[in-house]
Amino acid sequence: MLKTEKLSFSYGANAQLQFPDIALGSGENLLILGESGVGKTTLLHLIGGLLTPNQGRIVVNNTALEKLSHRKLDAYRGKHIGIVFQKSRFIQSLTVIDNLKLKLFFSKETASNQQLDELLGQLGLLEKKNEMVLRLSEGQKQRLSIAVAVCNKPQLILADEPTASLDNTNAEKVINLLKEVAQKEQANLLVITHDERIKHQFTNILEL
Amino acid sequence: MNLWKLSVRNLFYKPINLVLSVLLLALSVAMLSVAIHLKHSFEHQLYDNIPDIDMVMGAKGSPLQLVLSSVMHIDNPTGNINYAQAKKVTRSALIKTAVPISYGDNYKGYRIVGTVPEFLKLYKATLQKGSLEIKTSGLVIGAGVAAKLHLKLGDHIHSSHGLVEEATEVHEHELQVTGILQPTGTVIDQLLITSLNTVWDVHEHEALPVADEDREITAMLVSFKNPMGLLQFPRRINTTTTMQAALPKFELERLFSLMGVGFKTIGLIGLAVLLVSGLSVFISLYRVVLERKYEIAVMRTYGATRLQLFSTVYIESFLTAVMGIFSGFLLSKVGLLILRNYMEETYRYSLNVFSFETQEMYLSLGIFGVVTLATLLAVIPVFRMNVSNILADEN
Repeated sequence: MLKTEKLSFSYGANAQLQFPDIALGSGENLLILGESGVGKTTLLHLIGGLLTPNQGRIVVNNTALEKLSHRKLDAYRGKHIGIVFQKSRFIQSLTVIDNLKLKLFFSKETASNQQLDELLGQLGLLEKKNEMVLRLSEGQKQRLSIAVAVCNKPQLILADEPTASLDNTNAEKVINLLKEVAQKEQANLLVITHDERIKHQFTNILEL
Repeated sequence: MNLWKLSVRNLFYKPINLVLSVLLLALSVAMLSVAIHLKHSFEHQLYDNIPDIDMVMGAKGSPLQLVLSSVMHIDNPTGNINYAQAKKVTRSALIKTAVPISYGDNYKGYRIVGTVPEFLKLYKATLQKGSLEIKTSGLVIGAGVAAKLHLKLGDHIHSSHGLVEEATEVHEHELQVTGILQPTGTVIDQLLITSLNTVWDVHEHEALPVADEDREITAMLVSFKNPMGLLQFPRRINTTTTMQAALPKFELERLFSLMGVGFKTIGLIGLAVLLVSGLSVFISLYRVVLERKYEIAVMRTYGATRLQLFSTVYIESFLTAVMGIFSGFLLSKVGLLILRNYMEETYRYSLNVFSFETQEMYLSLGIFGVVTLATLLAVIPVFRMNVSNILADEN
């Protein structure tokens, strides 16, 4: 469950960004569309607790983020919010499977090797589990990014421009994957993008 | 997965950086460790070899040379003195012991010292095998000589003239090993001890007999009953006799203060290298932190706390320091072993290579301190990091 109310944010002395309220019930998805510069990423970072709003509140699964200390917010984000960034970033010195295990370690969650194998299998990465991440193709990295975001079963999945560098077929596959994973875990999925190609895959759309 | 695993993987991910940092740390540790060992060995040799010798009487010349040759047994003697005159001078109520020594021969580079039984007491030597009695044509040998030359009780040897191994003039007079001493850690371990008569006999066999009143010794090792002796005797001997009196503690401290400059220089160079290596660790870590800013930001989104992120970087530098210290001590031991062999070959002196000095513990702690400081400075960007900015910049 996700709820935002009267959110606003400004970078220094720049004009204040105002965001419409969002309310998602359990397992619901939302696509946020908007041109570059309207504050899509800012909104995602606010919801993910990476930025603190000037005004307004964000409630994720009955927890108001503004009431959490920095330390508790870090812990809460790690445990309950999975973020897929536009450009995949991993720990280069680790293998595919160890990147998943690292996420579990920091979020203080556990998953059996079988569960991790199943997740990697679902994303077509099982045979790459012991590869260094450097050796993965861009598509594989994108899928690994999803695996890392959801491996600890978060209640909210945030995806920032997940299809920006993908062709039509792969863009559709990635969104389907995100929806599948979110549905399986009964998590909220919130995708922000300027990519009109994926509009038809969502029923709940917010335009900034 | 845990922080240690992550740090180890990160550490070995860029092995060239690791090798350079470890090498620099190892070099500074090795230099400082060698300087510490040399200083301690030198101090040990200085102070343990002059336990009860307050004054050395010998032929006129350099007092330091007299002390080095008669007490430390590493230099040539200044000449000989008349034994009868030396005995006469030392017949005083202020003198506790006056031990004559006469030397000038060697066996395979190890000095043969003609003396009296009190010489063994002076060095607190105890018996390992055979007899402590110093018999004519008998030899009581130090533990180091016995081990190095594989000499056993009953072995017969022929001494050579001179104090160095290369001496070609071998005496006909045969000497027999009658006693082997326990190791003492002093110069006596490296000596072959016989009676004064043996030394005189060996040389008189090959020359004209010498009258008793004309017999010579190389030096007299004197210890006083009280400090009054130190005040009166040296001046009296130096002004009223043909002999000179040298004070071992004074001469050796003078030498030590001169050599101290060398030790200080080595130590300062080592410290400079340590500072450079500390700086190198800092630069390397700082660069690593900046290079990994995206990884660090991503780990923050995973729920990693700032302390956990600091810990991953600190574990890396801690392991680098451990490897540097370990390699440095290894390098130092190898260097000291080479130096020990050289010292044993040249001066018959041994270095204590495998001991661990207290200062080395302080050195290790100091390195951990430097590395901790370097890590704290290097991770400042982690604490100031704006995760959102970093992750937004990549888009």
